[in-house]
Amino acid sequence: MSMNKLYTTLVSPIISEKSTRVGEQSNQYVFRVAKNASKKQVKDAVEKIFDVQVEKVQILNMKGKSKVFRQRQGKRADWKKAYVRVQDGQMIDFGVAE
Amino acid sequence: MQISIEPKDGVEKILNVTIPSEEIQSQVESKITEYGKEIQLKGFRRGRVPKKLLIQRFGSQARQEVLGDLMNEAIRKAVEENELALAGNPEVQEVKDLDDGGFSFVAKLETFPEIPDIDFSAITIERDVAEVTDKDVDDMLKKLRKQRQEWKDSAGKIANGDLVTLQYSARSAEETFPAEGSEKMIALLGESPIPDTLKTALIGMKKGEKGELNVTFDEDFAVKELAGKEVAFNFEVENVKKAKLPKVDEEFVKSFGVESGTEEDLRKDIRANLERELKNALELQVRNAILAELRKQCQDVKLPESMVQKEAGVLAQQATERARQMGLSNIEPIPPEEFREQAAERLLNALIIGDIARKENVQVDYTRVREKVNEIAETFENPAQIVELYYSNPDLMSGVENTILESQVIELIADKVNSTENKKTFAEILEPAQ
Repeated sequence: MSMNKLYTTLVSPIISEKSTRVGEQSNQYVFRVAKNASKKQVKDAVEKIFDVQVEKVQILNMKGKSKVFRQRQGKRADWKKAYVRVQDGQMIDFGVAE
Repeated sequence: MQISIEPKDGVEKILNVTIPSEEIQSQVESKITEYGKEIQLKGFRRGRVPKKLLIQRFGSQARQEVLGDLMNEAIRKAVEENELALAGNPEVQEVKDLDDGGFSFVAKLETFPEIPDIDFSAITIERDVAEVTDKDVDDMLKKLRKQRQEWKDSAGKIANGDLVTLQYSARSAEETFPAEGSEKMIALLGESPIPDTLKTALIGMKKGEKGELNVTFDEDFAVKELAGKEVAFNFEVENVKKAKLPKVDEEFVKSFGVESGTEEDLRKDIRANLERELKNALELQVRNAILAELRKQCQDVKLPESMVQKEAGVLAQQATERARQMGLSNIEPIPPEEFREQAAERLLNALIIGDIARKENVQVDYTRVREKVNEIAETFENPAQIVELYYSNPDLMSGVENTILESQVIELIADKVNSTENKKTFAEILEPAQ
């Protein structure tokens, strides 16, 4: 897989209260990933980009929120979220990788 | 925090400050914690942002702020501990981040110079002394009459001091001026810069008489065609006016605002005026003499460069403005360098005066300030308004206060110094240039 493809797989890291919590507790990092990405692709992408060993990837589909805009029902796009657990002792520093 | 001060040049001090890493770190952290309580970040509720993230995001900014604070504090501390009187803002140079996360900088401080104690009794000044004599009053009265003099046509002989109108034509080797007819020239004998030969020839002539002679005009003669030329000068005296001084009568006296209209009162008035002028002039002379001596005593004092430059800038600006007011509207701004010496002198004066005022515990005498303000106001059309303006404007007021303080200090010193009296006449003092 080319480097370009890797970056399209991982859209962005998610930094929030919950993501820092799971990061501290179980060495997991959270990403917004491409809608069509598989666990295998996410694993490869994270390993290549951040130079770490990935233990496990959990993926879930997030339903886009429905919003009313000018009295019409609208819907934000659905997206895919991935929880990536890296091996003990390894870490990802988003500040540097960005 | 390590602070070391090296004196340099007397008024300049070099401040070396090193701030250790731990001190910065602890302050940065407390600053970050402060931030954390306020900041809103996406994905976090307010105040729940983890410290690690805060440091990552705002660490460098917080460090800058902390360093700024620490630098100010270091300078303030140094100034306080060494009891420095700063002149102008400190100039920070050589800012360095140390390898261990510490920080160091060098600041250049300019302080007011120390004015040495001056032994007034060792100073001797020359003090001009003069009195207003009757002759001075006479002279003044003559001057006043001359200001009011009238020109009366006269058929008599021309004498020195007369106003003579000529019709002339001048023939030089190359050309004739004017080409046809004659030109008019008005000369006040004894004052106008006409050639001496012409003047001598005119004296004794009468209205209507003609003459011819060879004259050479000066290079800078006002009529360009004649300047610097030797010409055959053909002229006719068209008119002669003699000056007539007005009589010292009631009308004349009253025109100077003396109500009674008697010559005696006018003389009294003139005498009072002259005496006031003389007093001011004498005081000024004493002041200048004392200040010159004081400066001599303090010639080793080094002045802070930034203040000298500031003062010179102010002087240059004032001079430029004055020039503009006098009608030179598109004059170039005068460069401050020309006023360097003057500025340094003024600055030193002010510093010495201030220092002595402090040491001798001289307080501004507010009755005199009020008198001075009234005095200034009286020269304006609406004195009450001017007085009010002064009292409502701190800048103007402090200017007056400084003047008063200065004269108080000068008086104080004047009593202590030795002086030799230097008898002069009134005229010599008021017209030193002649």
